[in-house]
Amino acid sequence: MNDDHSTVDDEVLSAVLDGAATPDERARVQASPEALARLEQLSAASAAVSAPVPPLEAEVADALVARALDEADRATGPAEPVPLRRPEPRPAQERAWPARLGVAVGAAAAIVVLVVAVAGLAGQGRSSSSDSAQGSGGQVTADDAVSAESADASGVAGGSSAPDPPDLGALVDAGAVLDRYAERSSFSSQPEDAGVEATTAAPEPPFAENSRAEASGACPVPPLTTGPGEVWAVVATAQLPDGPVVVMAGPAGGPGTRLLVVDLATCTVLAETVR
Amino acid sequence: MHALSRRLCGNDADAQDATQEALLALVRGLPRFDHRAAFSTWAHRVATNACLDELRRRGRRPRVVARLDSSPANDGTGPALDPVDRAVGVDDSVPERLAIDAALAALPEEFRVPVVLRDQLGLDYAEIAEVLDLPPGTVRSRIARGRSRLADLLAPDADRAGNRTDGTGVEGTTAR
Repeated sequence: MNDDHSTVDDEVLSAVLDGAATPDERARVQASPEALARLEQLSAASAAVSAPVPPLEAEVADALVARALDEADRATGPAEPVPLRRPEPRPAQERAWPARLGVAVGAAAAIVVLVVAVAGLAGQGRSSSSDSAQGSGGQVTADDAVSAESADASGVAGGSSAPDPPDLGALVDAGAVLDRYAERSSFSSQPEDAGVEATTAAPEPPFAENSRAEASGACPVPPLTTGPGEVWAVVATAQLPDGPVVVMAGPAGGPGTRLLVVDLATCTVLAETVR
Repeated sequence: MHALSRRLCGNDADAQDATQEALLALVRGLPRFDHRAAFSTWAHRVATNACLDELRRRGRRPRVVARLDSSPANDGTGPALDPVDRAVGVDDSVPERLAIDAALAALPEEFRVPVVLRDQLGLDYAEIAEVLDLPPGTVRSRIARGRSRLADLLAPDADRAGNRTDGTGVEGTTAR
């Protein structure tokens, strides 16, 4: 250590610079003109190192990141389809959606908008769908889960007569709707389960495309739970040219919410992101 | 990450390579990240190690990209002087930046790293201690010693550079 200052060495001065010195140490520095002069030198050195580093050019930075991601792909192999698991039955009283679902729904809204746009564009070039009663077909989105499941209870327009663009405002009440959807999904996917209340009438599928996929055995109703404590929600649906998709929101295993776009026809995850 | 690499490596080319290595190390190590430390702490540790590994792989100290003084001699212990680097465009801040690079390059690694983590990245002693797996008291001491040498190297009267430090001497050319 520098011994030029008999009472205040550079370590104390450096600590003063970092705000890590004790009051006594600060007092000693303040009392010594020589220490203050040295402090000035150390401060200048610190400021020199802290000077901003010119950032990488965007192209270079992109190339570095791209190469790292390529390496990751090589290490892990291409993404494989993730089979969806069937939902685990839960008692009705435990179906309260956690508060974070509201955040999930909000985060998913952005994706919903994208899906709406894609579905809308796709729908313009499509002939009417055989299993759609909307006439124009195609644009079924977030509020389909709403409309198909809760029209009778909430007054939201039903899917059978809703050709208009989706009303994203319906997401505000998505929690209640999703509760109903979870209940309905449990019925349709696991009717034999004793833990689910029976109904006399066969429940209608949440939406026609879903029932078609279910009938084919390729992909039953999307999972609303994947494990204890994990809650997944279908926050949007869409009919794309290649088939129906759903947008699901659930835990990310860390901060944020995991969003999946699932192809119901093939039962695979088409896209995934954490927001 | 690039800022860290740039300060530790001393020039843009090595910093770019080190940044690439750091990103690759992050990608490779991500599956083993166990959340016991904050992600930023882990990332800083990975980046620091990647940069230092890159320098060790090249078997040299940080290479500063231009001559800093007018003397033609170089004792070989300080920053290498690369003729190619003289072609670098010069603005008013370049000499100052080069002086900083040279001074940092002259610091032993054990002092350079904590100083950069503190002054460039703004980590506190505890965070640096976690990144480097050192006691906080050691971090404080090493930062002080590093700054002390830097102050001497960057001081207008650089004659003091070899005399004021704590016995380990100053390597390489001094920044003027």
